[in-house]
Amino acid sequence: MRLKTRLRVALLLIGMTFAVPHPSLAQSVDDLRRLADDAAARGLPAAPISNKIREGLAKGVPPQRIELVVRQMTLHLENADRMVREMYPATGRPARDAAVTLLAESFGSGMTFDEVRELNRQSQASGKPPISADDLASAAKGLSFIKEAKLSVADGTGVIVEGMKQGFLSHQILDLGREVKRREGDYRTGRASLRDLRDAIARGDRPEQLFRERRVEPVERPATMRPGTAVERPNRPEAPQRPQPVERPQRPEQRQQPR
Amino acid sequence: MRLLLMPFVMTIVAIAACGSCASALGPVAPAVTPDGVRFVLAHPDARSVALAGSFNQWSTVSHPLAPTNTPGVWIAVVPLPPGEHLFMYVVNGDRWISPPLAEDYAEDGFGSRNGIVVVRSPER
Repeated sequence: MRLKTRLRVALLLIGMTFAVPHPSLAQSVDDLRRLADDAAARGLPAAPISNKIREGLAKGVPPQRIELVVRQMTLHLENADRMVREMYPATGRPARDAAVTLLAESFGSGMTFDEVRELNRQSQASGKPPISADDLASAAKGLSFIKEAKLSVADGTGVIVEGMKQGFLSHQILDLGREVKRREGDYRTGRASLRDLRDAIARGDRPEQLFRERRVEPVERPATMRPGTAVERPNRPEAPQRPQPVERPQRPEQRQQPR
Repeated sequence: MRLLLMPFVMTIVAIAACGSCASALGPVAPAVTPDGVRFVLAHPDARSVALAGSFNQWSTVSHPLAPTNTPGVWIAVVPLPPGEHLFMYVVNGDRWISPPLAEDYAEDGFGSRNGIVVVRSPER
């Protein structure tokens, strides 16, 4: 076969691949709704799926593309659901739905099964009462922020577990991870360290104290105010002593001038 | 020395005194106020701006922003329940804009970035 013919055949095959609709992909809004219904029938929380479908439709995304995102999301929800059922068999709805949703979000942000298990293992090893499914999901999500900031997951686990040991509430654990992510530059360049943060928590610093001194936005100071560039001023001379008031003689009475 | 510091001090005073003009100096992140979350977007070409997010089923009409006295600056104060909320701005009814400044961002899976605003529970 000549090269030209081969190219034509190849182009024809490629064209056919794209022209024929993939039977498994959603073609309409109803197909997408069916995905949410299927997830709900399997005991998964349907709210995040329905919300993602609405988001995609509102943004004008084709149903096929929405389906790909929804399927990925469903996979994370299934994994999270399996983990929560395995670790917390007694947790019923709606607490399970909340934990599964949060845990699935952390999987979506790159957390792995092993990292969540390690988080759970270390938090259980602290000798405190077992943590709840919601606590674990919050811890996983908090750690996912640290992982998103591309910081050490092992050190991040230490920070989160220490927070849990010290009785930080779920939302405080989430904020802890968010604050670290917000200051990722400081942690990457060594201006701050996750180990120091863990030590501060271990010493008893409360969430509101941990980042307090850095909460104020830094204001760029003009060059003349920077240390090292300040102009040395000579000591101001002491103010001269005020002279004692001089006693003045009494003014003689004014004489009337004769007209 | 005082003369050298004067422009710096004047700038700080101007920013502090003119909170509503802050948008003219740069993007403004959503701020939680006693009345709700204040969203501000500076978009000189906009004829309309709306807020769409996880809190309103991504509706492009239910939460419009109002124009301010500063041309091109739009504002809305939206009461939101405690939690994490995803959002984007919708300009002229169909143009989705990722927030220029937000507490955090998350990829939406469709090629854009949603802004995140976190409302902390007041009793916490």
